[in-house]
Amino acid sequence: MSPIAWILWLLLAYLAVGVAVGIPFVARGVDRVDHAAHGASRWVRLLLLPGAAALWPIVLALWFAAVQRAGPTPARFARGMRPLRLAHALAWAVAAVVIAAGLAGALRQRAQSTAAISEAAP
Amino acid sequence: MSVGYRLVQWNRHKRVYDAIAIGAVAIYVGVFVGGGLLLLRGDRAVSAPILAMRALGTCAIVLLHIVLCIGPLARISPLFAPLLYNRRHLGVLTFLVALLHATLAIGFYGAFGERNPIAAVVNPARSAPPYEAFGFGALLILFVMAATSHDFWLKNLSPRVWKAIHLAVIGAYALVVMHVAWGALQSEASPVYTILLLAGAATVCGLHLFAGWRETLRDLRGVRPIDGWIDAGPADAVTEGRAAVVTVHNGERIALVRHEGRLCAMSNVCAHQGGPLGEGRVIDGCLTCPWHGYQYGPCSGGSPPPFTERVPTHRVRIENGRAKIEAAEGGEP
Repeated sequence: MSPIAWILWLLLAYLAVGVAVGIPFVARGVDRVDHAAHGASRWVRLLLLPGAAALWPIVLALWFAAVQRAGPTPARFARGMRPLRLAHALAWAVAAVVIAAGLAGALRQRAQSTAAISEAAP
Repeated sequence: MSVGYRLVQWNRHKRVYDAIAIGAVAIYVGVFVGGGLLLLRGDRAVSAPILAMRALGTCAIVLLHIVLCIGPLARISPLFAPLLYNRRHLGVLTFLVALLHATLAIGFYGAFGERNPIAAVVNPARSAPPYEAFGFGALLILFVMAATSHDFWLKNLSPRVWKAIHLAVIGAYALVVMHVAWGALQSEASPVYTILLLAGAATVCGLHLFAGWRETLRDLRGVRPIDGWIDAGPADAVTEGRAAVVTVHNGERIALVRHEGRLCAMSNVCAHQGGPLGEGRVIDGCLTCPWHGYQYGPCSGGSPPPFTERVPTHRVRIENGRAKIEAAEGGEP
């Protein structure tokens, strides 16, 4: 099996665990974690399932913390946005370099392929 | 956000926004496929599934470019803030269109179940970079973002963690560009797609780098408190019902707002998605976030009942005509 196929199977296993954690979480855990979720319809809970499956380690941590303190997650202020702003700017700077390099490589590859086809043509 | 959860927080504006977005996607795909079937004939003929695949793929890319341009444009000019209002729905729509493109591509090239779909996604025998894997990676990131777009996740992960997770869209964009450059562009004879992709990447990266540079400069020019008080400039510079943003040397930002003649200060960071409260204005007696309309009492920092959101407040005093904000949080002025 190729490395990429391995990665895909691992991903599938991760999502399977996510669904196993996500179903009880959306059924009961959300009410424990967030009082505003009390009385949420089954459609809302269903909508939360993909997110719970995707982020199941964080979901477990949230659930565990809510059980430990026997209450919902306290309100948190959105402080400390400067590191996020810096991370955002840096990530775009790195992405710009990666994108430029990738595009240059792809265009060079296309030029070489076109030249090879032209040479091979009668 | 704090009073119950609904499937979709629709209101009239969001319905109009969504109707325009979905209508535009339907028209784009319809024109692309219909036009392709009508105009491409004989040797140039392309089958309907391939046309649909291309239509959905290009549509997803156009949507992703729009979604990614809205943020920096709104930071550069408040004129674009209304587009930000329902950006999450546009992001989810981008994922759904990309998912349709991927489903059609995997189905078509996997002979609709005749071959292993995993083998259809990745072909390790090929020496060139696996453009299918780039597309698949981008789709996974878009899935995580769409799946965690509900307010429940925003509130419980905290805006900071939620935004950190959503930074992954930058990686998704890079993967999408690679997916196109190492895939469709390799066999595309016309320079049009190449020029469009280069222009799109330059626009998105350029806008984000410019907006990021402006924000960094603003952070670097932050005011240092003297004896625990921050000089926010002339008190009369803030007009009635409006606010000003004061950047502190540590990068935190404070909104200084005037309501009924009184100056009050609160964190500039909206509890919802971290929107810039100081760029909003007072509506119905509350400072209203320009991004999604979340409201806070100008002096209490609390949302009007039944909502329970709250942002930290700071004391304010006027000294020789200048507004001074206490660096420490807490207390009404």
